[in-house]
Amino acid sequence: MEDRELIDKFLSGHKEYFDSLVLKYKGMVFNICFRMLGDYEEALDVSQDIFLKVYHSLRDFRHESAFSTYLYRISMNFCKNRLKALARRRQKEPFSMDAPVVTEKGLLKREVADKAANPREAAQGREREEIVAKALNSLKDEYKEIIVLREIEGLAYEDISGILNIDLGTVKSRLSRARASLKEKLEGKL
Amino acid sequence: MKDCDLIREFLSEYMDGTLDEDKKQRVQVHLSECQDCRHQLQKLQEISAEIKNIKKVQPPQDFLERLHQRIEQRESLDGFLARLLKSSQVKVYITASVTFLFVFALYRVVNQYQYSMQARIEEGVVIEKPSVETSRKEEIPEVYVQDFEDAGRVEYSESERLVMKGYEDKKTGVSLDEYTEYAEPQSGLALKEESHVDSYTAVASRESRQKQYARVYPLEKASARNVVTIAVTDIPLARERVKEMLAALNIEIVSPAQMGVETEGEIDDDFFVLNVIVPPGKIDSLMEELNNLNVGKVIVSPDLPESLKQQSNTLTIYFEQGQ
Repeated sequence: MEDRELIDKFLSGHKEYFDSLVLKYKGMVFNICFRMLGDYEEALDVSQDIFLKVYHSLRDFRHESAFSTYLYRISMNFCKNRLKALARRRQKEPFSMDAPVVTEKGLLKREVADKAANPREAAQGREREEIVAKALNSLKDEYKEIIVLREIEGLAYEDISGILNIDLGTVKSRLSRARASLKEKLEGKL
Repeated sequence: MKDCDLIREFLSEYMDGTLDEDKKQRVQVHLSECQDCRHQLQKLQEISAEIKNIKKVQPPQDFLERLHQRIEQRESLDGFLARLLKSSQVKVYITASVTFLFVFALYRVVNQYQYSMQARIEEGVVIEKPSVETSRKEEIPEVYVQDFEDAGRVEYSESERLVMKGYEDKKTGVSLDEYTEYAEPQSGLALKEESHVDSYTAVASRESRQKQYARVYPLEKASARNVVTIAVTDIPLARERVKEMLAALNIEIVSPAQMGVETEGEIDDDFFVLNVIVPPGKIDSLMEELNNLNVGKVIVSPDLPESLKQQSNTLTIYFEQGQ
């Protein structure tokens, strides 16, 4: 069934058709969130927020663009807002990763949890992939989003322009700079 | 080298196959000649391939169930709020609370404004509230003591003060009825106005003190002000007695709001200004009491307007060192 049909049925009161939309797009939304935020739990939280938002605002969707474009746009906005919120929180609660944690049993050394989606990844020799993912995650937000949309989602320049609400020229120049920045970060690491 | 920079800007689009034919050929020709750029392109292509190969991450199996839970939570909350808002009693409570909060916020804003005004007064800035008739913004030009001197309108008195009277600058249109500088006059001293509307608050920069503030009134507006001057011999004493008298008459002092707070050293003992709000019908008893206090000669010039008797208005009381 086409997206439009699913949406119309949902809006006419058949709530179950929303589930079809979720099942169709949860992978896409979740992966965007994971690549943008670099954290599984955050990605889960934000992707649920996104679908909740869609559930409540689908009535206002005018079909002026494809549903997927609309969904990409909401996803990117939610991810960027969360990144900003996380950055603010980090600024407010500075702490040293090296400082031991005080507990009843004495001082404990802090360990960083492995944020990899699948703990076996590293063991299976996916080191290169991990290095690339880390470099991607370290890019500034506007570079990260354009690389995710172009390279991972494989979207055309025109679609990216619509999603990010920037003109085609900006898509081209920003993508070029983003790729150069990523190359710089990976220099000598691959 | 310049060519390489330009070509590298095109490499991203070249990879994606979106360059127009002209640029594409230019890149190709350059690449055939430049090993560095070929290397760059190869690197970019490698990275692009690596990123495309990043494995997709699977959301948890119960993604949809979790979402259902959140939707239900939200809907039950919305339903609760909707039911709550339907109840007319709750509506009254909410309206009352919102009104209270609004009034409280307004009170705080006004209060804070008054505090900041007072703080500025304590710093030495004389601030006048713009009256309704003169509240339009005006461009206030700079005034120099030199201008007054040139116009022959400067008086040097024995108490080391400089009085400039009735000066009107044809060029700038500035007209002032009186400016008094309580220090040794310096030619060319710059008086810069702050943009208060019915009086020019002049700031004179001096070498000896960082800043000195004085007040300059435009001629045409002087008559619009309600001013009473008392020529007294002992300003601190007169100040105290007037304060007591005002308290007895229940007349509010606007500035300085709390006269007692300032220490003696900080108050200029040669000159003092008091702004009060005179309620309707009180002006006559106030003038009578002022005269009865016998602290000094009470001068009313220009005459106080009749409107002061009917409506509440501000009155400025000057304490001046008399003979």
